[in-house]
Amino acid sequence: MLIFDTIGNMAIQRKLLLIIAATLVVSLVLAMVGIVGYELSTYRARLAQHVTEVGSFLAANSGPTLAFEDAETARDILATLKGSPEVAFAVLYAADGSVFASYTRSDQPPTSAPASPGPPRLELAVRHLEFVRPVEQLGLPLGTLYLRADMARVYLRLRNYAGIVLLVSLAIGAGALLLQGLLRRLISEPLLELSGMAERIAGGDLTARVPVRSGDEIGRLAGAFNRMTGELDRSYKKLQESRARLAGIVGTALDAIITTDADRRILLFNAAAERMFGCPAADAVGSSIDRFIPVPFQETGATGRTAVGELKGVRQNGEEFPIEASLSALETGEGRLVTVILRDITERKEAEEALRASEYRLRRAEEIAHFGNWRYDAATDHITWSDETYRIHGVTPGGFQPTFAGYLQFVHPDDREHFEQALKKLDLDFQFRIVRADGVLRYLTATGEVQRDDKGEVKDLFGTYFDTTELRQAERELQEKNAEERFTYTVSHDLRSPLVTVQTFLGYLEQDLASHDSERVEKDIAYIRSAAEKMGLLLDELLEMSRIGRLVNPPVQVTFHELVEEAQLAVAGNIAERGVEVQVLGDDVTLYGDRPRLVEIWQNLVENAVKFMGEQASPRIEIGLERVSGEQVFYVRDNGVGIDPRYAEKVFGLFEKLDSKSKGTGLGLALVRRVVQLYQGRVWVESPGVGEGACFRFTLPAALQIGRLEAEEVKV
Amino acid sequence: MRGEPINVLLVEDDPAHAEIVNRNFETFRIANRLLHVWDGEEALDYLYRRGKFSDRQQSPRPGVILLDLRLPKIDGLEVLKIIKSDHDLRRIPVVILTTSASESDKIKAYDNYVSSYLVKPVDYAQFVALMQALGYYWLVWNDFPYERDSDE
Repeated sequence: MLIFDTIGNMAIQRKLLLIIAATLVVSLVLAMVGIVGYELSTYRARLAQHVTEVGSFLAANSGPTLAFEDAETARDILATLKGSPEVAFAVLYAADGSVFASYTRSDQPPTSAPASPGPPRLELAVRHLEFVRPVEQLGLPLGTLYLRADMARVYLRLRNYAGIVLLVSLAIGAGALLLQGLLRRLISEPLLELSGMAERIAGGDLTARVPVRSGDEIGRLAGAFNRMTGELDRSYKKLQESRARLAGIVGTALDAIITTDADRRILLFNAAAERMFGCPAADAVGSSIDRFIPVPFQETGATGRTAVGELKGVRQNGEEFPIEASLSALETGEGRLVTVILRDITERKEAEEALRASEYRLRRAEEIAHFGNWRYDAATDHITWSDETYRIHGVTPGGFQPTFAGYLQFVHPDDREHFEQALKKLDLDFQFRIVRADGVLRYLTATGEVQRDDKGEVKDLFGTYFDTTELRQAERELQEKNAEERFTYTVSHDLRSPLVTVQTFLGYLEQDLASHDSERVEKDIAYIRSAAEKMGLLLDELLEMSRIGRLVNPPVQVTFHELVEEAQLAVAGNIAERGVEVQVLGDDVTLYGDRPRLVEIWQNLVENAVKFMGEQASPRIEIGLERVSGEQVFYVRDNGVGIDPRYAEKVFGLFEKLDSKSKGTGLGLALVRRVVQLYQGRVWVESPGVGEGACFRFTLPAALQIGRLEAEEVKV
Repeated sequence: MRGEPINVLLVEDDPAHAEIVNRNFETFRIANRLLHVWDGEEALDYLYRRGKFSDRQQSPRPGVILLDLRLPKIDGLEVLKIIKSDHDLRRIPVVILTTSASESDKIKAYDNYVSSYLVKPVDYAQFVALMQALGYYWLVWNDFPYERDSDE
């Protein structure tokens, strides 16, 4: 419909005006139609009545004129119709039907009257009204009156009404024109502003805003529009920022980022990719990615990110290198885009290789040094051992899983308590013994450190096992070698000393015999004899000493009490002579070793104790066995002269004597130490001081081993 | 050489050897006082005037110390070390008189500033000759700084 299209494209302002004007005109016209309808219908009724009245009056008054054929008067009577403008003309017919008198309204053309008035009637036609009435007098028909009225006056009024309507319409039009300004201000301008702003926004200016001037729909619209624009502005800025960020990330990323289309043509090639492949982006973009990654990577088909794993990359110069890739695919309006993120893992591969090599070296080093490492993860309660740690424990990595509780099975029964306590205290620097599955005894030194998390909770323990068994063996051999050296030194010195005495006093003897100084002669001989005796004693003990290292009796099982009994028997004479009371305390225990040599320990200690009883009125010796922190400790305690703590170590030296005038050569305790050391034990003396008695303590771990493993250990 | 005789401190655990030194002093009419202690502990007690050696008249400061190496309780080398690390005692010449001809003993002794190291000869004539030379050298010819006793 053309008209609606035309209206539809009109400015809102015009549409509004048109609607207002049309509304007013239509209502005016409707009002007029109503009025005219009413006027027309009432006027006809009034006209008919009026014409009937006038006609009846004329008919009544014109009778005499007809009777008296007074046409003049008849015309005068008819002329009174001038007062009734509705009547257009009137005719008075004589009884014979001829026109007796007539009247024509001034505006009417002198139309001839109708030839015959027709029957009496009141006839209402559309545009006129005819009235015919017979004129009678005294019952005699004298003629007929014919009146004809028209609607002229009605039409005149209607014309006036039309004029009013026209005038009012014009006034409305004028009013509408006047309203136009107001409308423009109230509606059009804000709307025009809105539309202008929309055009600016469309043009890219997101800072555009419309002033909100009213609280009506337009005001709300403007507000909403502003909010929308603000929102749009913010999202646009965010989009721009995130775009810039993305560009920044892509540009500065250390990983190469390449985007390709569905045909594997490169669309994006970042700086890292330029560096990685040695190819400028300008050269790369548009070409196929296959020149850089010849083996096509598996496309999963799914969108989202997937790791592809390791691929082979080719640089511009043809050099190949390993890369790790992950890719993400995106379905867009322009087709499928695939972005791959690539990392050059050459260095990592080399580092992995180096790590493998250093792990191998560590493994070898541990193997050579008998040095194993272990790690305990508190979170998973998992223990990890190195290969050497497995070897140290005599198990194979596949066939054995170390656990915390299971480990105790390895630990030597005598060391378990000590081991558990050390772990409990997290004192990760201690020594202990293990018994391997094959029964072999090994000495281990454990060191480690505790790693704690931020809260100070134990995260894991890490440390090493050092198998010191061979080292201890070597140490012992070295110790023995040193003792050997010391032995020869001591022999040369201590044997020389009495020899000097003998020789010198032989000289004096010669002199004194010549001068007959009998007193001096006696003295000289006494010195010589004493020196000779000392030499004899020394030689005996040297022989004894040399036996310790060289004579080995086959190891046998013997109990602690048996050994003590035998030792007591050997020195029974001394004990009885001094009247010493000997007491044996403590549990019995089975030892395994060279019986005569083990006996010598107690024998020498008891002998020593008897020798240094001093002035003690009730001499007493106590022999026993105690458990001290998981260790079996033997002891021989006396209530004799005791030992100055300063010389507590020196007493065990070869040919050492604390008292130069005491008998003996200072060999006894050296011998005890020698035997104790052979059984991997220690010997020490405790004494509160001179006159307070002494207590010799010693351990014999190797003699207390269960089974026959110590047979090998003890063999020297 | 001065009028006041030099006191000699002999540290010797073997009574026979002490007797030999004593006899030689008599033989050569050495008028100097010979003070004899039996072990290293006694030697240090004497030098620091502890216990029974607290009387200065009875235990005068020695001009020379004759020291054996193998001694009970504290051995000779240890005694030497203590003397030489004491700023007052270190000027006293220490002569080692021992039966040990061991290289390591000699090195240790000289490392610790010993004045002389003498090995006891296993021959009467030699021993006597040594003692004579020792007496003349240390007690006649050798000159000493004038020493006051530390607490004088």
